[in-house]
Amino acid sequence: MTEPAQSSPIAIEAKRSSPAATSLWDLAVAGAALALLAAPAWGRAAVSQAAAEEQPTLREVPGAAGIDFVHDAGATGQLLLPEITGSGLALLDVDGDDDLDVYLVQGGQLLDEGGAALLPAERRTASDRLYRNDSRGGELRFVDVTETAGPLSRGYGMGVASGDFDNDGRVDLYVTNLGPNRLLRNVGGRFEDVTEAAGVGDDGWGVSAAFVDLDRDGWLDLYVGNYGEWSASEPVRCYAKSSRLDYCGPLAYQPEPDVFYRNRGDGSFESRYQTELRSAPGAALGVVASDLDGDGFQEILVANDGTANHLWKLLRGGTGLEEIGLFAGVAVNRSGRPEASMGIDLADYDGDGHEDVFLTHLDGETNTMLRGDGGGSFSDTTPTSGIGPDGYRWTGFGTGSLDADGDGDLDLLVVNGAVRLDPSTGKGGVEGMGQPNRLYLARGDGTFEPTDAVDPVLSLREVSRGLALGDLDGDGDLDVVYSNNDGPVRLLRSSVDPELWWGVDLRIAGRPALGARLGFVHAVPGGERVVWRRAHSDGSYASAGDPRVAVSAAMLAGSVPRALLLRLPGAAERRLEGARLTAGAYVRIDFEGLGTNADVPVADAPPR
Amino acid sequence: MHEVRAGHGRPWSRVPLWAMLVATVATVATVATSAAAATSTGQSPPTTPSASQPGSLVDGLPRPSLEGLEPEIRGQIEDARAAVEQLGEQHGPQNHARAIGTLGQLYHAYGLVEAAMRCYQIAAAATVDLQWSYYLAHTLREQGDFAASNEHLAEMLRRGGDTVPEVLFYLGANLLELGRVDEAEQSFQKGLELAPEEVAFVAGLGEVALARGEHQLAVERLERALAAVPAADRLYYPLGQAYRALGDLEKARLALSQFGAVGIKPRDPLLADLDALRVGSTPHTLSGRIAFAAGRFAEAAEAFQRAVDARPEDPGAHVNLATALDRLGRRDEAIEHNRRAVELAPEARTAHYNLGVLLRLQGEHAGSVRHLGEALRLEPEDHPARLELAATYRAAGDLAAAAGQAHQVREADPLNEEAWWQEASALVDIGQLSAAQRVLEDGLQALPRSLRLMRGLARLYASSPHADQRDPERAVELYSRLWEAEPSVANALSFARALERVGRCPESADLVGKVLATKGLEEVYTAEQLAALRRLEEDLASGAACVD
Repeated sequence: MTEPAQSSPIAIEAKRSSPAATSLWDLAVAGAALALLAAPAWGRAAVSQAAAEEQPTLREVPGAAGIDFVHDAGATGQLLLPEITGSGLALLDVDGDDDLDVYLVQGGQLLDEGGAALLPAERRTASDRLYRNDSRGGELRFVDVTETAGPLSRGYGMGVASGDFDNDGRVDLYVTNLGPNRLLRNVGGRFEDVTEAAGVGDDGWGVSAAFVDLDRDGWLDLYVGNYGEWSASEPVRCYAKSSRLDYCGPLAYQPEPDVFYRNRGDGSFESRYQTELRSAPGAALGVVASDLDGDGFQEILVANDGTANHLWKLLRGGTGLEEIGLFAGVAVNRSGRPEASMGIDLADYDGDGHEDVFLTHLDGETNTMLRGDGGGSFSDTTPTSGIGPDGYRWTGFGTGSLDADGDGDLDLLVVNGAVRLDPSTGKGGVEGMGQPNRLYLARGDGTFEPTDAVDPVLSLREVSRGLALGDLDGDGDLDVVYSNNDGPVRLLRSSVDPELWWGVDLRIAGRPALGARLGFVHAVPGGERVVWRRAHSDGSYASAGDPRVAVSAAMLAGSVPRALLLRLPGAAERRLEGARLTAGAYVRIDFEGLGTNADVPVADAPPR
Repeated sequence: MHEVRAGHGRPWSRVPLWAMLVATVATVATVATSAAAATSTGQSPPTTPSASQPGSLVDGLPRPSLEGLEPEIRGQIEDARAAVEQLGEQHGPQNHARAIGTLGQLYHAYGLVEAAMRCYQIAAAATVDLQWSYYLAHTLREQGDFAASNEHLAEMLRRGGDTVPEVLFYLGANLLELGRVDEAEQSFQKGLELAPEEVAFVAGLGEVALARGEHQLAVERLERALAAVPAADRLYYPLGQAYRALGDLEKARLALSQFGAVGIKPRDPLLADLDALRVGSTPHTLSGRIAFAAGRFAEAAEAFQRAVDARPEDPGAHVNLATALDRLGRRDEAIEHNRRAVELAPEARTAHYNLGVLLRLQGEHAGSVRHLGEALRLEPEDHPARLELAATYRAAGDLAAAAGQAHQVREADPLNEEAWWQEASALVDIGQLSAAQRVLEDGLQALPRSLRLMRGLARLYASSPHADQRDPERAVELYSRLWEAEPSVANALSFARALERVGRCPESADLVGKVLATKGLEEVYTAEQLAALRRLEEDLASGAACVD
């Protein structure tokens, strides 16, 4: 990204004296640096259903179906970067009634009365909000239940992650703030703040986080992406190319190391891998976890703003983390340029059975498509994917993949909003920084094209940030909720309404099976084909989505699922007969409850 | 973002088309002058491709807000705007349009791209000068409208611009962004034929090959570009990707280990003209920082010097210049500019810090202590400054003070490896080896994967001058961990030596054997040293070394 000029000077890099050079422990051996050297095609069947002819069916629900939340950036007029960074939201079933409620992260007053310190949470009046899904009779309706939902986060909020950290079958929340983060334990329709007992109150500038069972011990660990070392007492002033005071970019701040909390299984966490995470800090904005190389362990992919993205891989035995982003091909774009990555999505966009990566970026950069080979290697195919040039004009944040037009392909939705003042007018806010959101329709061959045939609300110029996808009305398609910085929430309902669909609410011992891959096997001429989906709540930007998975008949080439393949990191793949699925409903399947007798041997497992 | 200009001195002026195109108006300073000149010479405008009606040009002039701009910049733009408006139609629409185009350059130079684009559109429509189309293509490219950008570039080619390699380069780059890979290749190929010395085309062809999945061809082209411009280390990334796709992981890793921030693009005198338009300090500071980040320190120093010239009372400008000068080895000047910054702003913490570091390197320890102390007075939690202070104390021979400062840092920040290391090092130099051992043990508890602390501790356990501090078994354990984490020759030999000390000669011999099998060993060791290593391996294998 083009960085606004800073007034803060460059510090001379510390010229570390090298005590070792003449010290006792100089190794006598010279040349210390010399190291010892020691798929079948899963192409899609011809299922194109003339994507371009179908109209997107996402339609705004007026008044966001009762979600009257308006984000308050607490703008001070000093152009402080945190003011334009938030915020995100989560879709989760808080009260266990099998529908998705909505948690919204709030900002509020940023600085204290003196203007030189962050206003502490205990003195804040603004709070995050919780809206309960009370939809009836096909009409979406949400009710603000914040006052009875227990102590929600009151920090200057950024993002939220969801996962059942204590394996009690209820989904909990981790809220990231500028300042101490909060862990909210779901105690059945309401939350209790267990941050201190859990030891996860990192006080950096957290934005995105993800729950992931990295060490496969049956307990969800927690990765927290931190942005930069921002200080209210030492504000950095940045300037645009015109010399006008402007919001800073990430490079104006020291990047802040991310944090990994290992779940001890007793309600508490321990901070791990600090050495590795400190050795490669980045301005983290988006986080996802998945087993990208098929080795049975999940990796953590972090979208960094303005610096190389990171891909953290657990070393054997859990002895450490290794950063492998550059070699894997996810760190920079095809030319070797680090991009200002904001949001992130993982999905099998081209239907080859392997997860691909989609990253949203600053204006002046493309959004980027990285095709995965299933073995942990990615190739930048942005130029031929059709998503590049359009994104050049907008600053993308939240993103997600869904079949927006009902043709069976995964389309991409990106919500946008600038991070700098309008150069022509010098204005900020919606007037100066608002941008339209964009929908990219899949053509059915792994490429996309932007469409203007969208609901007018998507064309409004707003400063959009968090986006979460979930089936709010339980009809088998994904609805959309996104937040606007210093603005209202938007809710778009999908009216794809597939006549035939099959949903799976995959669990492990009662908790959502985050990180699992579900393969819907269906018949095609001459054999079978598998449509893969990942059960996840992570990704996008600072937001958490619906971990349930549903496929429509259109996704299965008009067919029905013959079988369901379940891949859980570290576990043998299970194949369930399609008859275990129910058309038009989410079937809860517990991986542990399957038992060995229920397993169907996989005779010809697809390539990983 | 960070590019080296790879043209090999092809003078812009030798290109006849551009010479003709840019003869009219060059900088904004000449807007009014050119208007006056046009009046005085009474030159008649060439035929206008699409003649504009009198008055219509000024009517369409963009007026971006200038609020908040540096006074010099604001004044510069306002003067240029006024000159354009006063020029009037009596000097001919072409001259008027050229002046508008020049105003567009000024907007462009300050990032007011939409206004620049509008000016270029006016100028391109009203004159025969192709340079406005070129600038317009650039602004469209900056906005991501690659297709529209290419329309203008294609029009330039049609009108004779195919003698200008840069047009072909950006045409190819736009086509690549649009996924029109074959056409991009044609454009780059044609550009290369026109300017065989222009390595940017070779690099572009490398990216084309990579996009098409022709990995061997990508390797050949990118290697060729890198051989011509080794500084363009960003190319190592696509090169590494190509090697990876070919399955040559060793070469892929090697390429990626050399990956950096410097890219490659052709010389572009017209864009360089925009740089020359900028006044005020902020634009120069911005370009200086970009050059600095790309490792182009001479260019950064020039930009920072211009910022200092524009704002001699700005302490930050002096500090930036000092930093670039330091990288160029001009330490005395760097110190002077930092001193100036401190004079201007006695509480400029970074300047104090920098002075502290630079003065130590000059051997002026008292001055170094004073300035680092001042930095710490201003921010007691400035751990890097405290560690620098420790280093200065150590350099000055005050080892106890050095250990004390480092101790403070690691107490406050137990994950600060440098602090553990500095404290232990100072204690070793004092001769307090037991205390150093404890510090390293504690440090390794806090940072179990710190190879530096592990190595230091192993060294102490293996060969401390005090027998009661030696612990050969613990040394073996530590060297074993080091070897596992970093299988280098040095670690192998240290590990082998530790194994020998505890009588595990066969394992030690095995390690020495591995070292001797290492490729490229002869580049590190002399023939005598290699012979000694072979004898050692034999002794270890026979058990003689352990017996001795």
